Amino acid sequence: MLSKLQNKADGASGIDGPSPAPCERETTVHSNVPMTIDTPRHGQEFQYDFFVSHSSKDAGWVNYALLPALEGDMRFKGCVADRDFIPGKSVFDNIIDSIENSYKTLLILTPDFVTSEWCKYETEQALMESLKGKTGRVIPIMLKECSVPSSVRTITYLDVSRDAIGSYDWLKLKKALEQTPSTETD
Amino acid sequence: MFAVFFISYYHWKIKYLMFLLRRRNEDDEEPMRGRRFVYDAFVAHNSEDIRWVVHELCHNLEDVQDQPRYKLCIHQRNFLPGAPIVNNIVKAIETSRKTICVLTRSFLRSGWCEFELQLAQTPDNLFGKGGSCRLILVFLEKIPRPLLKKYKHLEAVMDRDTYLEWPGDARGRPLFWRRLRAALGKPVNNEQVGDLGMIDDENHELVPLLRI
Repeated sequence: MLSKLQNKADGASGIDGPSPAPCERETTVHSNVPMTIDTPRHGQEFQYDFFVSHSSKDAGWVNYALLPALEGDMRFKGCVADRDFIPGKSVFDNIIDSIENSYKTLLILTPDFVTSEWCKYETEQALMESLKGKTGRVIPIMLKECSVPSSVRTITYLDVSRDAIGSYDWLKLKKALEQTPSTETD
Repeated sequence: MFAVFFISYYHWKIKYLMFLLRRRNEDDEEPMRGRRFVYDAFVAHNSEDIRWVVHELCHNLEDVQDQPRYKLCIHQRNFLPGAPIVNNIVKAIETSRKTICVLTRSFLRSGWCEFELQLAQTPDNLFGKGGSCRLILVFLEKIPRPLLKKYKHLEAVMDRDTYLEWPGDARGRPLFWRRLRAALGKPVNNEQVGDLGMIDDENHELVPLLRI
């Protein structure tokens, strides 16, 4: 059973309650997550090809379906909190740095994602990146039927909530990950 | 009593014959102003109507043996995730020879569908070379007049050849498809290339049948 970053789990599990106080917290890293590959495709500017923002409840799908496909088969270099966050660094810094250093950010939309404070924060940070003039850096993936957060509603999402994800969905995702983000005047 | 039966039975056949007699051979427009068309038609529809779109429209236009195969653009299949929806829609309409609007009450209720309908009616998008109309309206259900009135511009577009009603009676369907194909004209590319199709100028191959 995957265990999670202590403080991230509190908020990301969707349990109502006070958000963790914004102070320095240690992060712990777990290694049940598949190993990543070494070189990202856009190594010049970005350390990672993608960052995955997801609720802890969806970690299973992320680790056993998403990452093997994207990293194993398609050889992208991804960033997930469980594996790649830097120990000793605050969670906030880890999130911001990961998103800034990732070519794309994937949002795994589920009812748990939508209610999670941490996921909301990650979404906001990812959208902030888009504000820097380039669209197409945020790729929402609807894993389970939920209401799309309003900030993300203008973006085309990949819908895999109905059937088991198929080869065509992976191809679409691959293409979305490779697509050069466009400036508005495109 | 027999007469009533007789008339209703031949009703569809008579309509079909009349259509064939009336039909003038219209030459299809070439892409205008050097614009390159990737799709034969962009299908604007509400997600609630996806089943009809896939099982009837896609099936009959993309997949039938011995008939020209069209390349359709459907947002669930051909839109690139991560791109703003507006960009995807604009590009779809610009790179499709025609726009088919699948009109139902839910279509008219949807903000995105309304946007697509408006966009399809800007002068650039509405008319092909030679003035032919690039918008095809397909009514899946009867829309009450008061609701239609709201869309006054629709009436201007409702020309005989570009305004179709989906027949509840299956006998009327061959005529429906015939008229739709006539409205669509010759496909962009006659060869079937079974690959990934996306809103992208570089590769615009056809996608295998959508599973729904």
